[in-house]
Amino acid sequence: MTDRDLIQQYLLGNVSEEVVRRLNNAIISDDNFRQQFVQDVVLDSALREIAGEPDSDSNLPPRSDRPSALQPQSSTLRSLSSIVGTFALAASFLLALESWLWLRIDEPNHVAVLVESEGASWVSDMPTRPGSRLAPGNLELVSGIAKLEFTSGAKLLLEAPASLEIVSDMRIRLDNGSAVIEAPSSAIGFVVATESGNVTDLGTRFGINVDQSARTSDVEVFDGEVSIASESLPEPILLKQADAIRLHTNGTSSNIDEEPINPFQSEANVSMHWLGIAGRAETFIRGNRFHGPEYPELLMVKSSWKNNKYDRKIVCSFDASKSVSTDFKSVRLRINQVKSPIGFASRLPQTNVFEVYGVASEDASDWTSESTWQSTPSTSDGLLVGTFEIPRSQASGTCIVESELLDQFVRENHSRTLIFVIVRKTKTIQGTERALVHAFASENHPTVKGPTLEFAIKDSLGENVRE
Amino acid sequence: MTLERQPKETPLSEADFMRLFLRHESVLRCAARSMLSDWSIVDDCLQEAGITMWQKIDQLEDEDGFLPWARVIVRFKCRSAINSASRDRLVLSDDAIRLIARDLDSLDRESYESSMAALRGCLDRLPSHQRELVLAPYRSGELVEDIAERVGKTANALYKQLGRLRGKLSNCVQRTLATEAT
Repeated sequence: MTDRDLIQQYLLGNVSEEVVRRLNNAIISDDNFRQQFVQDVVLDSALREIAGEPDSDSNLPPRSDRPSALQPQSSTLRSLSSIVGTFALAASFLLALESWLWLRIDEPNHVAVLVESEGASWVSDMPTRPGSRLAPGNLELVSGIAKLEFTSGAKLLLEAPASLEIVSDMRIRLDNGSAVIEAPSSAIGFVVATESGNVTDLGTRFGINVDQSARTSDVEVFDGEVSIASESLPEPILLKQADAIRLHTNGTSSNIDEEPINPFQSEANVSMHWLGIAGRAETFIRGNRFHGPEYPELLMVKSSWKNNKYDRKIVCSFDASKSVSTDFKSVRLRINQVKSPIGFASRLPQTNVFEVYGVASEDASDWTSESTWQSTPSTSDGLLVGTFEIPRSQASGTCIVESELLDQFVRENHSRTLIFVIVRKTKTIQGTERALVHAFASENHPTVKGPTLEFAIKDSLGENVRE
Repeated sequence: MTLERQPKETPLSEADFMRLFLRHESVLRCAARSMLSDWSIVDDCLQEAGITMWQKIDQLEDEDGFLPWARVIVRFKCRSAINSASRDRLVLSDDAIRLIARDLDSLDRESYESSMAALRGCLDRLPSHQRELVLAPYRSGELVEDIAERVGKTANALYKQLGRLRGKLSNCVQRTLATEAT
């Protein structure tokens, strides 16, 4: 342990006679070390203060003996209340003190929790990390998918682009976007208000798609019943399972026949679920024999205008042979873009095209993270199965590849390891600054899912749709 | 410690005291922490010091003198705590404490707040699971050993990891403060 390490271990409470002895000597004999000690004491206090703040949430597994909502008591409160308690201070002062303290440590009124999200980017002044508690307010989901759970028990699945206002634990206002709402019995009466009408959940699962520019709302019931009140209807109506309706703000309504509303595109009258297989993926840099990854949680892709010297490709593999039969309805590859730590977007053209190649060769499945560019599968080994585009302005989001070729490739090679090579076709614009390397979440990313191969599979027992 | 002085014309009110205490509390907490390795004892000492401060509020001539005066009282309380603790408690030596106190005298609220702001920025740059790990020992008041068990690591490994993360944060904060100073 270096002398500097001593300071942290001492502050962490990991002390022994030896540690304290060495620490004492260093503090007495070395001015710089002592200054470092003082700085680290200040940091220790500041960390403790930050940890005690009410809007920070922990993602660690919860303690078994304490409900996770308990906050450590503010030590300020303890100090002051003991002083206040010891002396008879004026009533008016006590009142003022109390309101001041509650302002500081009062927990905002939360009505929902952001349970999880995938490839999500938000515009909001509320915290939007998975696990965040949400108070009434506005949220805009710019990309990706998010799942919210209200304290009433209602569940909301939101797909970008979407903007909504959380009104209470039993009401939201959806101004734009697609959502699926599930209301268990504790949340019967949950209302989704829109410009074109209000939908009240009577114990159901339903989907709603609000088109802000067209000023319409499409409602489709997957299970149970909803009640809809709207200017476009002479009186509130009851919509049942498999019914669908479109509400217009100008006061008309129309029936929708088979328009899929569920953001995950399952048919309303056939139960299906998506099964996602996580992939193993790596980034390979041409000409780079060393690639202890600087960012193990990211996969990076790039192609330069110059001599391709530092091009990067992503190779990912999926083993679906055990979990999925060939009896799947459709398949798609999902990869989540996240903010890239390297380069400038301005050196890219407006739209960036990525190509996905499927490689079927048996020998190619032997690649590991130690492999070099040459020995790993390349695009010439494979077959182009799909493309996806990312506009220059987009910093993060979910990218889906779904095509006949992909479907065919997966069906034909289903019993083997499925390998995909992803490259960026668009080259950077000439220049000397570092060009943007597009980054995607790998399976090591702490909050965003890595590459997934998703299969739509029919439920043989007609169960509810799951993701 | 008693000092003879003329009774003041306008003594500090309770509201004034509260305001001053709250304003300087973070710095006083750092002073206590620099002497004591156990946070719960730090809290107790702050509490007792606060009561003593209120009892002796008449000693204070003016508001500007609050921090140095309060710091002395805090140190006194911490010293009592160290003395009354069992002899084999692992504590810093008197010489070390004396020297540290001299260095800490220059810490005021402004510099504490700057460090805190820099720390927030540095914490945001950590991946969220690492950030949670660093904050965990303070949040729940549990031992590092228990947290280690919860997250599936050995205590040793967690101490090492926390030490490393905190060292990173420390460097980051110092870099941030240095660039702000230029």
